[in-house]
Amino acid sequence: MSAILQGLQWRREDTPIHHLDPRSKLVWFLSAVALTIFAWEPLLLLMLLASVVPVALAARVAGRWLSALKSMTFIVVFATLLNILYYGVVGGLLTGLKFVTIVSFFSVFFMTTHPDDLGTALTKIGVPYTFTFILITSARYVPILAWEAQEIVDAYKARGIELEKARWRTLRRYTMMLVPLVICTVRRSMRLAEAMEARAFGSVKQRTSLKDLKMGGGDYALVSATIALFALGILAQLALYGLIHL
Amino acid sequence: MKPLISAKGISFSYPNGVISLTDITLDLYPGESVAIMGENGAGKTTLVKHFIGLLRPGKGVIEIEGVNARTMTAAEIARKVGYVFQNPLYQLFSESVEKEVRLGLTPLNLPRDEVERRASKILEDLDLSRYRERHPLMLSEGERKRVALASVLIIEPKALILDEPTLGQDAVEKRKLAELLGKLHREGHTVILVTHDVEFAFEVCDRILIMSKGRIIADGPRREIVTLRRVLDEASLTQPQIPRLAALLKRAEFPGDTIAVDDAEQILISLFAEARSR
Repeated sequence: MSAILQGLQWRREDTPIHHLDPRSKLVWFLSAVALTIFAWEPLLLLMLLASVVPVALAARVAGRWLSALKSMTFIVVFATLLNILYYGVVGGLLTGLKFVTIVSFFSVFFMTTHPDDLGTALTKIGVPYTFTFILITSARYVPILAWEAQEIVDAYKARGIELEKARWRTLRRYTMMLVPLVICTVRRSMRLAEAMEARAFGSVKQRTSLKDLKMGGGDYALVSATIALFALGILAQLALYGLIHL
Repeated sequence: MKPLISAKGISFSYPNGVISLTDITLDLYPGESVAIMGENGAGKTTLVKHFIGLLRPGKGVIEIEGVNARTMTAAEIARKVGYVFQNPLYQLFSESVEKEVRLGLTPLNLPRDEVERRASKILEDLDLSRYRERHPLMLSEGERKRVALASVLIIEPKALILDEPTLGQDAVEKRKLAELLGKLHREGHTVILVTHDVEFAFEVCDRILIMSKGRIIADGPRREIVTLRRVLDEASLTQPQIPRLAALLKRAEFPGDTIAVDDAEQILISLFAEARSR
């Protein structure tokens, strides 16, 4: 669980990938995910997955990316098996591959982009700040929620309730722990709302941000390469479908 | 005497690589009252979570009554060692105070009248009887802390660990808590406090353990620890007020190991009397 979270969490690093403008990374990330969803050609999917490797290495996040993938083995295998039942062996395996690829893009994007920068980028693109804020805060509260859930599980064990020996009843006991978790979350959101009001959230229509974004040479290179490769990928896939003739 | 909880050379680091405990060895005996103190991040909570099996040492062994804690689940240890969390909200699951308090007894399969007896006694002891039917979340912060404490005490553990029990408590609640802990201690319970509250710790506990950066830097009776100003400084703790007064009045032959307010009062009275007679 914590490995998955670690594989999505931004950390301060001094690499070219971290310094890229969040907008250009967003373009890269969204096109990569869109193409992965669109593509059904195995070679194309493998190339997409392989394209994560140099980025992860350059950003020095390859280790965390791989351990996040490793801790998701169960979900991936389960999803693949389920898909094999519906779409047959090839379709199932391809869906599994798509899943792993999309998770990898998510992982690398979020490990290298600070939620605040993502927020600024979205605001610049024209997304209303209220929505951006919801997105950033929910991302920010995930680790806190995970920590809190662990603390509640511990409190439950400390009451002498058995959770370590797996039994059918154990599963039912876990549902009881939703009570404190939900209560704490609701309380926290009330406090957050109060703190926001105290700081006059929403009183100004036009927000300015402390850190202004600036596209550099690397950003333009990334965006143009992304657009070119994205178009190429779409065309290749369409040609393979027989929808167009190259 | 056989120790109740014993740590033998334990070290622990969190999965993110942060080293939290380094080579800790200590014995806690039945009937002791111990305060574990130190700055934030010194490893106090991490250490006591080992005593109940919520964390397992990376190196070394924890023994509960001479038995390796690794052979027991946290729930099994909880029958011997009670643990009250810092935030009561994390440990309240039920829709009434009474159900909350009884929850810890479900795995014990006790006869119904015994459950009833224990529940009534503990609610009485902690001044919670009138809230029996209330929802725990409808209570005040201090009352909620008492419910959390009651729900652990009802299991009748031999040792009781309280993590920051004075946080958010007013002076009256603090005094009541001190009285309750004193009573439990006299009844033979081992009481272990994790706290920043020097006044409270030195008032309630006989033995003081000071931690800094994952190590124990001092361990001894409070009369000895209270004079170790450099050690207290290292752990970002201030001396309690009475010993500070004692240090200021050193030239007037005020004994430096005075802790209790009553003792200080007696000494001051006799010093004044002496001065006047001169």
